[in-house]
Amino acid sequence: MKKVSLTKNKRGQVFLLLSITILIFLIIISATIFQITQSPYINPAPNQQQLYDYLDNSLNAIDDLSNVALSQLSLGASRNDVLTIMDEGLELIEAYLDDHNLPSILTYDDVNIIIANSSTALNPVYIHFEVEVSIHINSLDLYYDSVIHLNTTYFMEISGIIGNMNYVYLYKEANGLKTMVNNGIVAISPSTSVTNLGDGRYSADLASGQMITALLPHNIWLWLEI
Amino acid sequence: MKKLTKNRKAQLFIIEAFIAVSVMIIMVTALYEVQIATQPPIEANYQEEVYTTLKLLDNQNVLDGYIYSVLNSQTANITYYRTVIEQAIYGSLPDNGEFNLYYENLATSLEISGSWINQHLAPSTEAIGIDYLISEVNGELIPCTIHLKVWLKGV
Repeated sequence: MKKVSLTKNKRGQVFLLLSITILIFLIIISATIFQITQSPYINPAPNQQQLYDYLDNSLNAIDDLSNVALSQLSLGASRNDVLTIMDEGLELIEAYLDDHNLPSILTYDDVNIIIANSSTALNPVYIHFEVEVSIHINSLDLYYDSVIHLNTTYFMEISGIIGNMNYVYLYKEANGLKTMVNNGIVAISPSTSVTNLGDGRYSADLASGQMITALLPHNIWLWLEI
Repeated sequence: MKKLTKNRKAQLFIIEAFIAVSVMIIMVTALYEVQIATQPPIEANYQEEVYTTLKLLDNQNVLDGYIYSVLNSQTANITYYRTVIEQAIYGSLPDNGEFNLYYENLATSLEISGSWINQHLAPSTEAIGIDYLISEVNGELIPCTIHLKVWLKGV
């Protein structure tokens, strides 16, 4: 009954019209204010790219741990030494991420760690290291959870037939990807001249009884006895 | 409604109210349009370029080569690596870009003495800081953080 009289009453009609108008204004203005508060001027988002850079950087550093392990293994370190390197290395990388507001937990699987160093007499000689590292980062701005598998092997190989002008090959296999190592240093004893051809091949006169020593990047050593 | 539309004053009021609402909507729309059409101030983003350069230098064993020469006082190599690092970083900056950097040993939290490049340059207040971690130096576990500052001269 009241409603009927409100629409018939002149003042009531004016009131209704005004209230509808004000309601529309309010909705529009509040929507605009909301849009403006979302603007990059007022509410800048944290620099996501920078966070990803830190993550990317730490993945690189984890990858470098396998180079430390390989180098130390080639110089005679034991399995326990390698486990210590992994423990210390991951702890420091964790600290680095924590320092940059990325609280993280880094672990590795010490059961499935694979270490192999071939005999020096069997062509090709190689040194191999394989480990799985789990990365868990849980911060307000970045969530990351993954397992990375590091699988790196360095090889030194000589051609099947030995003789003058033959080749020593240095190469690396990382997660199935083979790359030639063109900045290694190859030395042969008794003293023989070696030419680095720049494509992973090292040319020399090979003869039985020689001992070939290769120094690879990251101070990784390989020996091959012909 | 009949009474309201027939009354002359009321008709005027309705027209006025209608115009007011339209003007209001147009103004609010215009405000919003201006707000979204305005570009936020462009900030110099050398960070990505410099990060990519650092990563390349790392993958080419320049960053660890440099600190290895510093730790072992190999003067010739220090000069060589320093030149390579300077050229690479200046190459990724605009002409008026400047930088300085030093290495910090992550295990001891101490600055590695002699590792400064461009220490004499005073960073401007607008300098961007970038940290880069290297874990391995010549096959040994020596984690270091490179603290790099990048800025533009005369800005």
